[in-house]
Amino acid sequence: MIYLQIAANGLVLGGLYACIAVGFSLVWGVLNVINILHGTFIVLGSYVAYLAYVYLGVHPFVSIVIAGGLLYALGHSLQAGIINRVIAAPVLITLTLTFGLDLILNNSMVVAFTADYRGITLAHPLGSFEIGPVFLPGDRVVAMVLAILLTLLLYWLLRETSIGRAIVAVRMDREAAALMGVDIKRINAITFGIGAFMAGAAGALLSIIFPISPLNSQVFLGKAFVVCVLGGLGSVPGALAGGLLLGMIESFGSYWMGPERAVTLSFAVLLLVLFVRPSGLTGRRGYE
Amino acid sequence: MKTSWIVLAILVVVFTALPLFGSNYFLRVATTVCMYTVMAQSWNFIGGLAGYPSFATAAFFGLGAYTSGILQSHGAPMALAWGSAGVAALLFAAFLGGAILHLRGHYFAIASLIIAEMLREIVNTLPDLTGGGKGLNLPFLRISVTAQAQFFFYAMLALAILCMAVAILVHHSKLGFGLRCIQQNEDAASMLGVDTYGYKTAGFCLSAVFVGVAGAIYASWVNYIDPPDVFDILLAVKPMVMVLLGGLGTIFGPALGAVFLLAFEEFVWRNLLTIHAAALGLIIVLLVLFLPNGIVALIRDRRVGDRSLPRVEILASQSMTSIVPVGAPKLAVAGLQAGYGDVQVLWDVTIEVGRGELVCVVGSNGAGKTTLMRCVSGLLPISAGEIMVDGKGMEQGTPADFVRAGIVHIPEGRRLFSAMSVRDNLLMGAYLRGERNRTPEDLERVYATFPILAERRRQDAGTLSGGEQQMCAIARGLMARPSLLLIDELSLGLAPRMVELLSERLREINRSGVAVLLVEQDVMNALELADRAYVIDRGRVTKAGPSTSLAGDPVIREAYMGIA
Repeated sequence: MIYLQIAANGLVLGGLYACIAVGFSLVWGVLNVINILHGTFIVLGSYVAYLAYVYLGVHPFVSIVIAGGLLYALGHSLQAGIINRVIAAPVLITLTLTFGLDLILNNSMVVAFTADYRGITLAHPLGSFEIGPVFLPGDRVVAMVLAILLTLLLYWLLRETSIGRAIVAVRMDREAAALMGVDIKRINAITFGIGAFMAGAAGALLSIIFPISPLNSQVFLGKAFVVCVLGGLGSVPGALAGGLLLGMIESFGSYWMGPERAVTLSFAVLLLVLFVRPSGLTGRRGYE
Repeated sequence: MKTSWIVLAILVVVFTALPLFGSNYFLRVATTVCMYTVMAQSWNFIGGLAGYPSFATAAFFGLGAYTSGILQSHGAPMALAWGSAGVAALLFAAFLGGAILHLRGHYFAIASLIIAEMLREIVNTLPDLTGGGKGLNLPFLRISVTAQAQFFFYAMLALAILCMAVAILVHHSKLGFGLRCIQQNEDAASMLGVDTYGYKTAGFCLSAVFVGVAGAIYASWVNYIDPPDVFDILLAVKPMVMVLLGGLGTIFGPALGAVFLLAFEEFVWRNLLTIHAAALGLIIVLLVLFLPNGIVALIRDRRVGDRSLPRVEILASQSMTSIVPVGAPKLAVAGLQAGYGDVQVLWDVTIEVGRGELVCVVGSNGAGKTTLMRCVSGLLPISAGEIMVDGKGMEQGTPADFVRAGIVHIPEGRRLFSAMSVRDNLLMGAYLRGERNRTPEDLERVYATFPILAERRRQDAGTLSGGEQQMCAIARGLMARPSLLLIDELSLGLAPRMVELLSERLREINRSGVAVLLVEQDVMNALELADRAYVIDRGRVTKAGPSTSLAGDPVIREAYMGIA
């Protein structure tokens, strides 16, 4: 039953992809900004987890909070200090701006950590277990579960808290939200911060699975693109569905066509979806 | 147009003469300037003129380089290989345009960004044809180093000149006009009969063909290509930066930007190799923040001067109110001037709303009623005048400041958060309320006023009928516990029975002590509801007084009620 195993791998991968994409999707949906920095935020989260593990012995799963918190602070200040100034400008301007910021941040990471690949080898891995014919490495499964929990936490935040409702309101009608007394620029900064938090947390989770290098930021950004287009913008359930779908596509794609073609395949799927549905599979509607 | 040709002719003469003066190093820089000019000028066709943020430049460049490289490694002559590269890029753009040009904004950007990544992966997975990750060697030219430098310089220069000549032609042609229309408003352009799809495809193809040839020349020039080099994402970003630097949608802006960017690269970054990318990033950030219209615009703006709305001095307040309410008014507007950009909408508007009053502003479509509402809720900055709330100046107030001061604006068209539940919409109304524990009480209060909302509280607001939406909008406003409600069009688009019901509720709300400023097109109904009224015509207050006397005014009866 090799297919069950492939599906299980896809599921694990997909949960992580959902977590990678959900913050990117939120920022895109609410601020109408494509945050090119997102991939670099994820890698930065991985480095935080790496350093915390190597120097302080903090387990990467605990580092979710540290990496997320640090990146929230970074994201919030970038939006409040820089991006908010041109938030009303055309797509080209905000896109170019986040690209420029990404060049700076990514280059700084190369200078600080070099482009060498690093990895975390856990001193006490959870081992692996088998369910019937399916073989599952424990740490990866825990990482996936945490990723999905984080994603659901964001869903709860958007639905049930006052700040969350304000974020959703800004996404639906900026001006009407302002008339409710919502400080749009503050919500922008908080939203961007939350996006960065999710990226940082995802980075900490990924640090035990993927090698860490500034060069990976583009790969992660690409995943976020695909998940968003598959699942729809600014929607948490959409990101979850899109993430799982991409996980499956890559898992089965690399089995049938070889791992080196998995990325091309996912991009081809993205272009195909855009060709058929110009605003993604689920369009623009949706609650959060 | 003539000036453009003259400038181009001067550039041709100057650049053609360059090899006479410069060293080989200097020629290398000049060749790169020409290459950058081609790329920036090309991107300008789709990005600058049509406003489509294309990242496909890297794909066209790499495609051109590999087409030419593969052909030459199979023995094709150089000229044929270069030409084929241009044709390949053109055909690819035409094909690709059919697939992605119907996308807008970010979706287009992402799709075009993905193309280069995909081509790169494809080249990597076809090592027999492309050399894969190991790269591809191109045949050497068997001429001296200096002759080579001159040869590639002239080749790239010829391409740049051709590209600029085409740019001049396009800018002054129907195609250029059509592309600019698409940038301004694609839907409108399409309705006016502009073949938007054909024009965009033409623009996209123009943005590809010269870049393809440039990639081919580049490949022959450096003798060796590999995927990370010719599909580099920076090849897509630099043209954007150059065009932004020089001036979006202009003729010589891209070339100017190319010169500037290369000057930075050569003289600044050469000494900062390890932070090369960060330096480029810094330039992008500074450019976007401080020089969004480029250098060309900087020069042009100097000449034209400040074109913002002239600030009009406030004349001695000519109050038109005959009845001044007792006590400090809730809202007092005097000498208000406001508008959008160059268009002034409100001229010296003076109105007042006392505590607990029900005042209406009537006037025809486009008289400036909505603009007035936007000014007194902080949505639209005013250019002159006074806005006093409870005796305090609020001219600089944000919408949140107005909500805090008790003024809540219920906008035209309701503007509910349509995919949120009714209850969540109401909770948004209470967003700024400090005492959160009192919101349940407030919810009960507005549910009592509009019982239907209690029934529908779990439903999405977008699924309500027009009348229910208006109730929801008013209820949402009440959740902030306002002392003054601004209502922009209570009755628009609603059935008479619903208007009656809403009017009754509004009277009740008013009797409970909330002042109301109502803007209405339905003059008869408004005058019936309100204590006092103002008539606005073409941005000025033309009449004011108690509603009963205005309702009897023969001019008003004729102009707004159609009664002679």
